[in-house]
Amino acid sequence: MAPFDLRRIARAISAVENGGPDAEQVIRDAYRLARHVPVVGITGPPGVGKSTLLDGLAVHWAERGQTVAVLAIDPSSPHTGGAVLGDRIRMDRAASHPNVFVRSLASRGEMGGLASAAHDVVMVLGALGFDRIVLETVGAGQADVSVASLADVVILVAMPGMGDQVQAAKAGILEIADLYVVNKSDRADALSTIAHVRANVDLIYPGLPGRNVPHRAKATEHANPGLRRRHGSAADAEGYWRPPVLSTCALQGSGVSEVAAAADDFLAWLRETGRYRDRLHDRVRSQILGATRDRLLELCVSAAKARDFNFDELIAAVADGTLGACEASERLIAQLVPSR
Amino acid sequence: MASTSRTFRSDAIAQPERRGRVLIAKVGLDGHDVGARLVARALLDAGMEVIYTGLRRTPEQIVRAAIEEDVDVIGVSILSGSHLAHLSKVRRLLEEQGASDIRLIAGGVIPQEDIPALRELGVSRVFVAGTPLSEIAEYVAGIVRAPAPTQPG
Repeated sequence: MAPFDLRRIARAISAVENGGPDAEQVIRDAYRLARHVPVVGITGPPGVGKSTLLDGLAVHWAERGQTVAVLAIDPSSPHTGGAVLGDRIRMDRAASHPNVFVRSLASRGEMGGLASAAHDVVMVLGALGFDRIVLETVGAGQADVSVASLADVVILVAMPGMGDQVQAAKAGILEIADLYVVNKSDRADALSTIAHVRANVDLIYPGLPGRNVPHRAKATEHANPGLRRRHGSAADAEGYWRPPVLSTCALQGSGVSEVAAAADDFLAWLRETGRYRDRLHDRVRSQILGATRDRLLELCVSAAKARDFNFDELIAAVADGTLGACEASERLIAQLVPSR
Repeated sequence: MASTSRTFRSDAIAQPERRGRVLIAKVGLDGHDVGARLVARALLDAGMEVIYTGLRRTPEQIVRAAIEEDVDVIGVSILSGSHLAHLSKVRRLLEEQGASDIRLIAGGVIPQEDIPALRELGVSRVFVAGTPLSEIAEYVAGIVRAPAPTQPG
């Protein structure tokens, strides 16, 4: 049996997901405790092996005595709000380990690869005493970068046959990784995929995989301010991080402990350079902005409802060309202004 | 689809209400899950969150998943003939782990004459092959709306 009260944890997560007065109390308490535990985010396209890799990583840390909470996010239906959550199927070992708690979350309308309650659930799991949180995003597309605002370490998983150098050089999800993993390395074309990803990292970062000391010969600053904030640059006195490109065959477990070690090394580097706190601040910033956006929309909707505002008419006006979408949005926002 | 006249599609914004959560499980040596996946799909269409366990799980794995996932209902699909043994074990583990409020339903190839025994050991409802999916979805939705534990039967 697990060393923690599974039911209590499970119900706390449900409360946070469902909202309401109970949730507000739970969430407030969690934030007051401010127990920020490392969050490892695993992202990548559907079918690359995120869940299988996560299974191995969670067990790796659990066997070293840590308690690990796993959050596996799958999409909600845009039509009914229902979901089929199937990541657990690939997490057999983690789901039977006494130090691991596995929970599936439906995205519930959230775009960008996370679930709407993910930030709050992470805070609550930290408050409940877990040593580490490992989360898996929805199968991600090129622009699903929300995980970067929540995870302390972002592991981007790819697999052989996913495109050429140009795909690897694009903006978006490929820019948020702290660690690249090419999974299914037993496949024949694995080496060329690894080479493509490495070649792309070469374009952006000098030095060697992982920690680098300041590099006098290449003491230039990252032109990309986001990457510089995350990984430092060759000109920085405390050195910089170059995302390693590792390969795994997660189904057989090969390469998994190297990925775990690299993730831990990155976490240690974040702490040593003070960047752990930067990430926390980035996370909280995006959370405040997200919560504000959601709340404003809620307020608009309820104000408009209370006034019997005709949304269908507004939609028709935009569709027919008598009104622009921005103007329509202004009218909706105007519902918030108290009528005189 | 519901009429949207003069209303917002607020379903696309926030979900303050509780969503039903259901664990669909396959237990023991039984490699057929078309029925389980069909039922999962029907429950998704009814707006529920369905966690599917995959094939060949043990009763221990099923009960732990049900507790961690905080489900209202466990639906076990069995076509192997070992429904009495497996379901009584699932029921017993739920009770041992303080989760007897999680309702247990079953479906698959189950002879009519076994149904009273299953009801006796705490299976709320048995859906035999050929049950319309809408009937299962309605029954589960009813449990989600009124989760208070009731005596089977």
